[in-house]
Amino acid sequence: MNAPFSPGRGFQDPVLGPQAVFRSVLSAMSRPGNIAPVPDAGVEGPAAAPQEVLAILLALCDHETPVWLDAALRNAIAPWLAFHANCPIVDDPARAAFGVLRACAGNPPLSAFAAGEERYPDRSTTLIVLAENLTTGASLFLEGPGIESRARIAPAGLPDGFVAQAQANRDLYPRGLDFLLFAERGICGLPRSTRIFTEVR
Amino acid sequence: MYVAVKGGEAAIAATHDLVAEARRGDRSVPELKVAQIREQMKLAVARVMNEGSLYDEDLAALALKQSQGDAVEAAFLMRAYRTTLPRFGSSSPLDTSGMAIRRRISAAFKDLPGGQVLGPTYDYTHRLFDWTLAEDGEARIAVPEADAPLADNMPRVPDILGDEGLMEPEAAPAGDPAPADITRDPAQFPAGRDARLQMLARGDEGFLLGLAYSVQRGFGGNHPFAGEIRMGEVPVRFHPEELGFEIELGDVTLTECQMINQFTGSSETPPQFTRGYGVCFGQSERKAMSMAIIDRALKTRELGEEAAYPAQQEEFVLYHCDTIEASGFVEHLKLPHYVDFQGELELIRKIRREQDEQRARMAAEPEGAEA
Repeated sequence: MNAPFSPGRGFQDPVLGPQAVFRSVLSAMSRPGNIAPVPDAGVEGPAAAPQEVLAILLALCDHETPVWLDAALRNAIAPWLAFHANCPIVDDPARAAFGVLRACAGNPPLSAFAAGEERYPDRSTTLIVLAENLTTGASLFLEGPGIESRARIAPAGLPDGFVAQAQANRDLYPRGLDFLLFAERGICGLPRSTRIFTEVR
Repeated sequence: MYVAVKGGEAAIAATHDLVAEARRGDRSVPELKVAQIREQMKLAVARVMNEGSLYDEDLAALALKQSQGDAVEAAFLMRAYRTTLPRFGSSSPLDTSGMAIRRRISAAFKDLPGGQVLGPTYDYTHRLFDWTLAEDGEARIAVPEADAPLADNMPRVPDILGDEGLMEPEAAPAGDPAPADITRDPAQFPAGRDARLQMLARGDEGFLLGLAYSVQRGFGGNHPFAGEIRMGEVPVRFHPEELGFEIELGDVTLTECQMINQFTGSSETPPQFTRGYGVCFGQSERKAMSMAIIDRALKTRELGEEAAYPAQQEEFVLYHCDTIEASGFVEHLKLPHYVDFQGELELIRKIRREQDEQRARMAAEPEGAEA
């Protein structure tokens, strides 16, 4: 073991904290392309991950939701996550209910994660995808449920090949993965129903 | 023809104020404290914890205060709150053989190891009012300490019978799978015993009591014996993965009842006693006993008996025993059904009109004019 384990803090209010964070995730998923701020619910954990992402994991995960993390992130936050949420951490992306994807070497392809079943398309992985920001990257144009006509985001620092794979993910509908892009304290939902274009049609 | 109701929101807001006023009652009377309910109405608190499916005496006491003592309304508050709590994991199975006994009796065996410990029970009261309780002032309580502590060894009675091979063994299903969790996956029928016991544990005490009574009166059963009833504190233990060992989280008060029933045996198995099991939070003997009687009644499938009576019919018992579901559906009748009812009204008027017209037509036809 490296440094002694520090539990940091879970939610300031164990009922209202997760409710508020869930609300912002719900808002992000309902209105893809809109940036929903993640409220400060008092969660404090290892600095290796954005504190808002840790708060989202605490709000959504429990002892029945396996989580996938890349190796470095796992070393940094798995003990903290186990202490606060008791969620299983899995190696196999296909078994993950949630995951955190960052731009780093050795990421599995999105097809390795769970895309759900015909009868239960919801039994799929929801990925929190970390970006540097949502404004200076190449434009992505979004259409679909929850978007009035078209929305635009410009995420920078996404994992390699993410956009192309996310577009391919749309073909699996109603199966498929769902994504929450995170940057600078805000989240942008990309549910499987959203169509992603790299140029205006 | 939907009639819009004006001012609805204001009226609804006013109901909250009226409830607050009704709840407070006469202002010259001191307001109830949650701690008073928790300490001095422990049996009501136990019922609310059971039917609310949540062990928290303070919350249950608050629920009773908030609902003016309506146990069903209080249980509803507990259930709703339960859904907001983070799910951290499952404790290790509670070991009631290690209970810190406060009450332990058997109607089947007079002399049992550890003895009969009567404990705090209403069984021997004469059901006469104690007027001293109506006076203000401190209650006079004098419980002398016993000469010796209770026996360490208080084995469970069915275990004693089991050693002789006379009792239907209680064995985990092959592979010892995790028990069903009815709060995650709705029970499907036929239901496994784990799901049945969970549903009974949170079931309405009155409904289960009535059904248990029906079993005893002959509607489904065999005459049960109270093999053992025990009440006391049991530690709750949890095994965090990162620690690698079990830790104790605290105690809960449980009441456990084991009913012993007859079984005639078959060509394969010699006659043996069968079990009924009941367990619940707090001191809730009537509930634990009713639950145990019905647990046995619902074993018809496993024991090859015919399910002839309501208490033996799984779907009837388990669908209707949940307090919150039952009160929800019964009380939903108060919601507007104006359109449905309008439809019924039109229909009944139309049928009567047509019948009147038919009668008038037949009366107008000359006699003997048949086609």
